[in-house]
Formats: sequence, structure tokens, C-alpha cells
Amino acid sequence: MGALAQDIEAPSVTEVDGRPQPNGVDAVDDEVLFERVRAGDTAAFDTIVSHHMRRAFSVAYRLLGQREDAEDLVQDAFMVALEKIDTFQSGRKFAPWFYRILVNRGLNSRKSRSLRRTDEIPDALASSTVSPLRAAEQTELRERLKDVLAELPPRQRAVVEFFELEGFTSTEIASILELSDGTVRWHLHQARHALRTALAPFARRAE
Amino acid sequence: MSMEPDRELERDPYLAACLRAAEGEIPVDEVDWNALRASVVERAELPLRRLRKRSRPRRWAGPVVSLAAAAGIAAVALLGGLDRKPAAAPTDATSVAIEEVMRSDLTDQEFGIVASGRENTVALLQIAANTD
Repeated sequence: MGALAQDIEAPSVTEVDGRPQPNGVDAVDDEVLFERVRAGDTAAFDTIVSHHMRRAFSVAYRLLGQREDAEDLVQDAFMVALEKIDTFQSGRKFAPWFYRILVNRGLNSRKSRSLRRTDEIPDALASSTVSPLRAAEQTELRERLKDVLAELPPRQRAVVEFFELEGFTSTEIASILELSDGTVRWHLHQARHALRTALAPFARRAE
Repeated sequence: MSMEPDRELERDPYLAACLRAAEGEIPVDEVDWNALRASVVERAELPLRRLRKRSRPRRWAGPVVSLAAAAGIAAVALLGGLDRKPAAAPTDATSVAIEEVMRSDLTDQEFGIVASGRENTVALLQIAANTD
């Protein structure tokens, strides 16, 4: 696309087979560990928390936009998971079940508090080597994207963020958001279209 | 609009980079991960204790039920055994006494005293004195 893309930092997530794997979560043992948690095993619970804490925080931050709120949401999600432990069916995957709890609570929290991403965006892109014109364009681009993101329906925004930034597959997102795979793909298509439309003028300007 | 549901979608690195730029990086360096983990585990201690308590009876419930069942069976066998003890066979003396009572002309009250087998010496002597 345009030259602006070269100014933007590369994704920080680790990529495995071309797909982001944010925390190297070991999903194989989670189900075994969670069965031990059913019997009140603190060490097993501690291990599960360690496995998912970072990714859970990342998802929570995407939903709430504040570090403190994201930390609270992570804690709440783990507590609710314990409360609902009897509803977790043996033989099923732990991660989608857990992230469903986290995302639902995050979306509800955002809705009830009418949170908006009005916090300051770190100006990491503006370096001393960038010309004032380029810096102004980048600020404008960020503001435009922020507006587009704010206009997206919450679940559509979650879909595009989870897919592009958090490395979830469409199937995982479908499970987390309790949507069909086709609906997830539709949301992704719509969100991408809106974002690309917003980016198009900047790409043309940079050419 | 084709969704191609059978094929895994490809990610768009440019879009991802733009999103990341718009939203800012996740402040992972600002989080005290050890403190967060410790806080979660500490808050979980009470529910975990409840789960331990709930699962504990299951471990000794089996033997206790077995012991209770065994004790019940033993009690039934013991009590049932006592109930089934055969009645003592009448002796010759008893048979003679019964025949005499049947032959004698006793009032209903006197017959009741004799038949009851209760130890009422005076009443029995009076009955004996009146017969013959």
C-alpha cells in the first residue's frame, strides 16, 4: 500500500506459520489442569492463570482501553470461570470457554460505562526524523481510524481486533462470541471494508 | 461478497499495523504480572477451598457407606436371629398342668391368671384350694 505503511511499526506478536501466536498458550494441558481445579487444586489454577494472563489482558485492553480496567476484567473473568466451573463440560476446550466469559463481561462493562477510546494515543509513530507534514498526516490517519473503530458495532470491532491483532482464528472468534463462523467472516469483511475505505485517501496521498 | 467458509482467512499485516498505530500498543510493560497473578490466585483461594471441601466427602464417602451397610446387615442378622429362636417344647409337667386346668371348673378370671403365666402366688394358691 502507501508509504505510510512503512512508517508504521511492524506487529509485535510472535508469528508461527505466518499466524500470530501472542503468548504461546499451551492449550493441550488446560483441560487436564482445569479438571484438577474442579477439585480445588490451587497450583493447577495458578498454572492456568499463568498460561492465559497475558493474552487475557491484551484482549481485555482491546475491549476497555484502560490498563486498570483491563487488569480488573482479567481478574473478574478468572473468578467467574471458577464460579461457573460446573458449567464447563469435560472434553471441551478451555480457552474459548474462558475468553467467552472475558469478552462478554468486557462488552457489557464497556456498554454500561459507555466507555469510549478517548485516551491519549501514544505518539510512538512520530519520530524526530519525520517531517511535520508526515507527522500531521499520521496523526490525521490515526484519528480517522479511531473514528471508524468507534463507529463499528462492538462485536464487529471485537472480531477485527481479535483476528488482526490477537491472532485468534475465525473459528475461535465464533466460539468466543457465540456466533457462526459465517457471521464472524461477514463481520470481518464489513470491518475491513470500513477501515480500508478510511485508509484509502492516505494511501493515495502517499503515492 | 464471497465468504469462502472452508478456507482460513488471511491476515492483513498493513491493516493490523494501522490498527495498532490507531489504538496504541498494549501496555504490557506497565503491568506487574507477578502481582496480577498473585492477586488472581489470592482472590481464588476461597472458591478453591469450597471446591476442595466439596470434593473431599467423595473420597471417604465410599468406605463410610460400605461400613454403614455392613453394620446394618449385621444388625438385621442379629435381631432377626433372636426373633426366629424356636419356642421351648412343653415338658411333661406342663402338659399335665394344662390338662388339669382344662378339666377343672375355673372362672374366667381364674383361668386368665393361670393362662397368663404371671407369678401371682396367692391367687394361684387360692385357685388350687378351690379345685377338688
